[in-house]
Amino acid sequence: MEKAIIALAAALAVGIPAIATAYAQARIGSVGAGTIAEKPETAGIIIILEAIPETMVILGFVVAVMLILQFA
Amino acid sequence: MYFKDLTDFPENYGYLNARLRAHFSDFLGREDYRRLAGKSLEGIEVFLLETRYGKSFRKGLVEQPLSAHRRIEMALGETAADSLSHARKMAMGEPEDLLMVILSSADLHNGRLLLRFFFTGAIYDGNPLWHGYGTLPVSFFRKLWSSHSISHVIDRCLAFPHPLSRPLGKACSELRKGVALPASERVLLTGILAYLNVILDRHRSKDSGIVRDFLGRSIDIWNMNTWSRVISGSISKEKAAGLYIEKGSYLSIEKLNASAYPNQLLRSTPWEEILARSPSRSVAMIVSRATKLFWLWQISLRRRDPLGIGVAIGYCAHQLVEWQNLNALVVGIDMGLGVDSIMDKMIIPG
Repeated sequence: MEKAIIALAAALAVGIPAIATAYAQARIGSVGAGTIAEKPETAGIIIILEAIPETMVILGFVVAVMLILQFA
Repeated sequence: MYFKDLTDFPENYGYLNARLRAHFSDFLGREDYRRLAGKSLEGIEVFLLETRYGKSFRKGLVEQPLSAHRRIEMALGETAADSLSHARKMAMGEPEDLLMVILSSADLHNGRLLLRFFFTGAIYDGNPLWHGYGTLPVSFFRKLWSSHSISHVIDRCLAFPHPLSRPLGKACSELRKGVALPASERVLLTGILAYLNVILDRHRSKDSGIVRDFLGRSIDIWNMNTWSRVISGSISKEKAAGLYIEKGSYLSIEKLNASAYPNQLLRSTPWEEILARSPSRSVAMIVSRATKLFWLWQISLRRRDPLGIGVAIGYCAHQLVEWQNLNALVVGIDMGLGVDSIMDKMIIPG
């Protein structure tokens, strides 16, 4: 039972930030595509902006790994 | 819910708005207009050649032997139509439908030109400057213009495979029956509005609400125009009752019927600002001031929501206002008006 709860916690730790990241990246991606189409010189900045929400899911993944290694 | 969101392409607002926002810096500002107002027509031509109007202007120079004034007029119209049609092509899903509603003002404008042409029975060889950013193609209006009689126009409108052509056919058949021009124009406007409301009913978002407000304010201006003619004694109250259109945003038909003075009509509505700007509060100036306020309101929407339809509305309005301003500038220079008089005729967003 305890293992199941830990697995669920790890899944939530990755899953929720993943959804939030996807939502943010979708918005930033569409705006970024429009911006690059008009001003190609902004491509570098847009790629950085697109990557920033990725940190959420990476942190979630780290938390999930820690949960599993600590308690499983 | 989520699947509906996907089919509405909500992400397209971000893409569309990013592309449109990149072009806001292309629009002319107060200082540009002031500098141009001090130039001659030849100076304006040289200026246009170096801007985004240059492509259409060069085409006009090569293709037709026209006067400088007409050449500039055509280059302005063509560039405005190109940039608005380009904006429309970038939109998908909900933004596409909403832009179609906003840009249907071109179909209304072209339809009114035709109605006026057939009403006055004027003989005019050339084509007028059609607004080429609407849903119905300019070639359709050109064919109607070259029709021998109003019966031909009606047949062509009813046979054309788009619902927006039918209101024009109906308005023309009213005109043929001997109905007055404003009543025929009302038939055209209500027909177009009925179609646009069907399009808007597909969407129940805050952005479609903004476009509903846009249509409501347009109706308010039509009603204000009719009301001002009643107050100035041009038409009777009974006749006006048949001309008013329902579903205006802020001016109900009851209020229009009950008001005898501008401040009575406009008090406690967003149109109240007209009174503050016009100390004389004359009835004659109300419609032109309301139109100006309407343009400024549209342009102000661009800053309200970066991921909403406001940016597209602001872009379209800015483009159309620039077209009007440059036309006013050219006419003013042609007439020999001073810089300040020309600047007074312009709508310049703050």
